[in-house]
Amino acid sequence: MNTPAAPMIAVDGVSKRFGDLVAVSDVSFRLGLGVTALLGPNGAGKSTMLRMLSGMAAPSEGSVRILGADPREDIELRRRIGLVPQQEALFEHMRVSEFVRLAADLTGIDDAGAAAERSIRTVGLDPGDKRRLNTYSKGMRQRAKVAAALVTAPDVLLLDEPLTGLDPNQRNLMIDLFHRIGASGRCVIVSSHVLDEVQRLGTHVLVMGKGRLLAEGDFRRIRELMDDRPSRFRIVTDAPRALAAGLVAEGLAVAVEIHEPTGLTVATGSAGRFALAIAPLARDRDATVHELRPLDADLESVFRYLVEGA
Amino acid sequence: MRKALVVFGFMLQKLLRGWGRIAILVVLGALGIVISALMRGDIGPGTEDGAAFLVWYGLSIILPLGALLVSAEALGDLRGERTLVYLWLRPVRAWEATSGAAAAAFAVVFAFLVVPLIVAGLILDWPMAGAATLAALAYVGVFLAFGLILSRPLLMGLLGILVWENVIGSLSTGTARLTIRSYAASLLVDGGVDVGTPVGRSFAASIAVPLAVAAAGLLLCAWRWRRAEVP
Repeated sequence: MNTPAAPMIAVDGVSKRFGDLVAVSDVSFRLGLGVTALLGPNGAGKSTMLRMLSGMAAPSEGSVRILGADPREDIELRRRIGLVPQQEALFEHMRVSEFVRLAADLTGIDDAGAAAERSIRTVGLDPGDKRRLNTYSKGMRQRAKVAAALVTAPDVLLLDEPLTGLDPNQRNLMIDLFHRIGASGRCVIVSSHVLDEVQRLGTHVLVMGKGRLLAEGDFRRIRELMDDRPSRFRIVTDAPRALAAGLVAEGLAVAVEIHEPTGLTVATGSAGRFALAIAPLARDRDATVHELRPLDADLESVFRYLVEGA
Repeated sequence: MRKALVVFGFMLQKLLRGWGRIAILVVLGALGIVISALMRGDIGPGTEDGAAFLVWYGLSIILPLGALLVSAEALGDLRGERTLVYLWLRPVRAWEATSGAAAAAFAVVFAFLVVPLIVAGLILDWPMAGAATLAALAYVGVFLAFGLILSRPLLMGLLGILVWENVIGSLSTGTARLTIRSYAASLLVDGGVDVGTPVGRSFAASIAVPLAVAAAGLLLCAWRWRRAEVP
């Protein structure tokens, strides 16, 4: 994740209230090029945040700047923002080519037909498909929305739960697509409440819960920063007892569980120091480490920890 | 302008696809022509009764009802279906979106209601073109704004037509000044003719007021388009 001096997205102290309900509370972050996953359970405020980023909703407090401008006031900025909204509704009577072409025409693209065709092919649909959108499967409808968002080649692409309803193959294709877009000098935010998806979307995450931004950054670093909860590692070795004794003696383990004859599970308060020390320690103790695997550096662990603590 | 035309084309296609709505408009328009033909046989051309029928059936019932059915659902449908986002997210200025939608709604109302009323007027020997066109413009402007602003535009529009245009407008010459049909009817007949609503507005006012109402509706619509939080 690259956050240049002038960020593509700058959110400062943003809150959004609907009457007494606080949907988003004092959220600030900056994003640059690449793919960022916006993670949080349903009701965390992800969609409201994306709506504010796209200009569809005004913050109650704070400011949102996309490419240096206010997305709610600067009409021309909408040319550079693509949004895939969460709602399933489409112009049901249209064909996919008409739906995407309408987006291109309303943006004022010169060769709207060709742009629409390219965009539809990009998401793996057929531009010549004569069927109406109301006959499409959920996954195809999602891809039609993505095609409409992509047709303007936006600098900032916001996708609200875009993988919902896609089969595993389609999901892989879409995730690859998002990575390609992110790598081509664009800022992509993909929201999801499905941890497996987010883990594959990228390592840079914004975690939201109960309207607040709970964490931002590389999810592995976020995990490391949670020093009040030890990280656990599984080690496969030919000398588990010797290695366990060494780890305890060096103060690298707060808990050790030995699985004779070939392994141990270690809980450490400092994952970084542990990772640096394990190889020399194994050498000193004449132990061969066959495998070292973090047990809870996965996103689900980070997510659960943060959201439950919110 | 180009984007307003895109919105116009999209909206026209959408409105014409509502077969139920179009059927209602066709029946209402055709009914006006049939009744006018029957009346002409009874009362002859150019009579006060003929004018009263055109004002009552044309300007007080089918034009406001038809304009409501078409205009309130033009942008209102998109808001209700949560598809407005696909228009709003594009770099389309508020005036382009609202004028495109208004033009499409007016085109439908003109084709299916104003034209039959002009024909009915020809049958009864009353020139309906100006009155019906101006009333249609005003009603379209008002009800287009209803669709974008109110949560139940059809219900509120029906109440407006019944209470405002027909009850309040019939109470006195003063209250009639607040209704669209009074100005439109004044284009059709001179003061002193009994057509069920006070008439006799000046020619300038009869043209300016409906146009001003239409413009106000469009401005309100454009303001709402700019400030709305899109669902």
